[in-house]
Amino acid sequence: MEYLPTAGLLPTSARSLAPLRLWQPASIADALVCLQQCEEPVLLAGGTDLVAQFNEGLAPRALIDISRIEALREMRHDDGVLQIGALVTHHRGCSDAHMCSRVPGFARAWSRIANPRIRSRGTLGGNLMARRTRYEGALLLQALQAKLLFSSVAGNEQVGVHALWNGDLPRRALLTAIEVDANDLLAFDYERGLRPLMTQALSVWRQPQGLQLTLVLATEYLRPVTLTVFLAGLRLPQLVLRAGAIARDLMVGLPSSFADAQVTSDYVRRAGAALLVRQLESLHG
Amino acid sequence: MVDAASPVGGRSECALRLTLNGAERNLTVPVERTAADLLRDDLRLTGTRIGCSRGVCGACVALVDGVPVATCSMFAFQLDGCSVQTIEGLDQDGQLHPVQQAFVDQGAFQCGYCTSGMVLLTKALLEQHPRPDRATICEWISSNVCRCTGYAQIIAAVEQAGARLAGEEST
Repeated sequence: MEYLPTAGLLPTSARSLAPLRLWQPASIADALVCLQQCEEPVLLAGGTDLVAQFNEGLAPRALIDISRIEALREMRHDDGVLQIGALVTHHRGCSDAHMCSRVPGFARAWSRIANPRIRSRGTLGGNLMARRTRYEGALLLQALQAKLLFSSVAGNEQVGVHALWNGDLPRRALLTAIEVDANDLLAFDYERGLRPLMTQALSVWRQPQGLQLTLVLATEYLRPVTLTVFLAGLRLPQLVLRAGAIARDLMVGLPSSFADAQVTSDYVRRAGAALLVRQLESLHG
Repeated sequence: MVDAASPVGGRSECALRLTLNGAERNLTVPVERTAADLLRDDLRLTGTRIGCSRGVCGACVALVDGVPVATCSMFAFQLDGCSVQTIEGLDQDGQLHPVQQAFVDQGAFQCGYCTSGMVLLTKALLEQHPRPDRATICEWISSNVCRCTGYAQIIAAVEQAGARLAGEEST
């Protein structure tokens, strides 16, 4: 990767981006051909982030503009399973009527990321594939135990959101959709009051003998970490009565390595517990 | 590499047809040209400012099909088929647009560097929410950065422009 010596210091009009060749496939099949044949390609979706990545040193030779692939804009819902096309914008997704009624907590959280200008063009797929720890899509979807659906010339593949960070993403593949099975999801809440220090998303799932709580925490610089606890014999309205104990127990599982230049793991543990109590109380209210 | 026989082709330049401030334009641009560079350097529409060059500050905002867009983070070829409005296209017959006039009346700028983007953002806001409450105004205005005013006068200007455009206050 070559870094421009003046990257970030000069206005764009004072220099040029490196020459690129452009492909504009109109179908997923055409996009897969491009991915297979182009040398060092990058994908362009909403286009709110890519130029910034170029300014940071990303220097591809080929640009594949996937914004003309209408199939990637579809939103489907079937038996409690939501499928969100990779090109669905934040604005459209969070205001979708089915999304708001089926997973209102997620729709509310989605409506709060970025700002109205970014939300109108930025896509959920782009938010994920930018693989920036400060972007909030991965955190939210990890708490929802979402699946990322990829297509490549070798076929289709599903991976968990954690694959964004651990190197398990399919190679030369196209993210086509994000799938959320909301059938056993009882509640979802997102807390970003301490952003950019830390953010956390909470999901509560129905289990045969009780509830499962999943808490995903992230900071500006750290990959999201997932903490899970099973609460036998409890029902959703009872969570608030044990909020303090649940928060303490859950936060014990936070790795001591979860720290960056802005926060220590001890800070995250304490602040996260306080935020979690607030979240559990909000579920009750 | 994909060759010329590829069903989807690959190119280093793009032909654009767009409506810019109400006028049809046909242009050819290199793929790597940003929309901000096209507007400022090629078309000399220098009211489009460049600040952060990464889509954060909003100084480079133009309206693309009525939607506020950071042109520094958009490729020029993405404007193909679009209607683009910059600050230069906002006044009518020498009369300031009501949003511009409200910014003047409220003193909603100091250095003025953010003003083009703020005015266009406000125009888009008022088209979606003709009489926005203060929370909506603050959320929208938070899309752009002003380092002079502290935003209070900008919020007042948005409220005034909203009232004027809704016919609730005479100019």
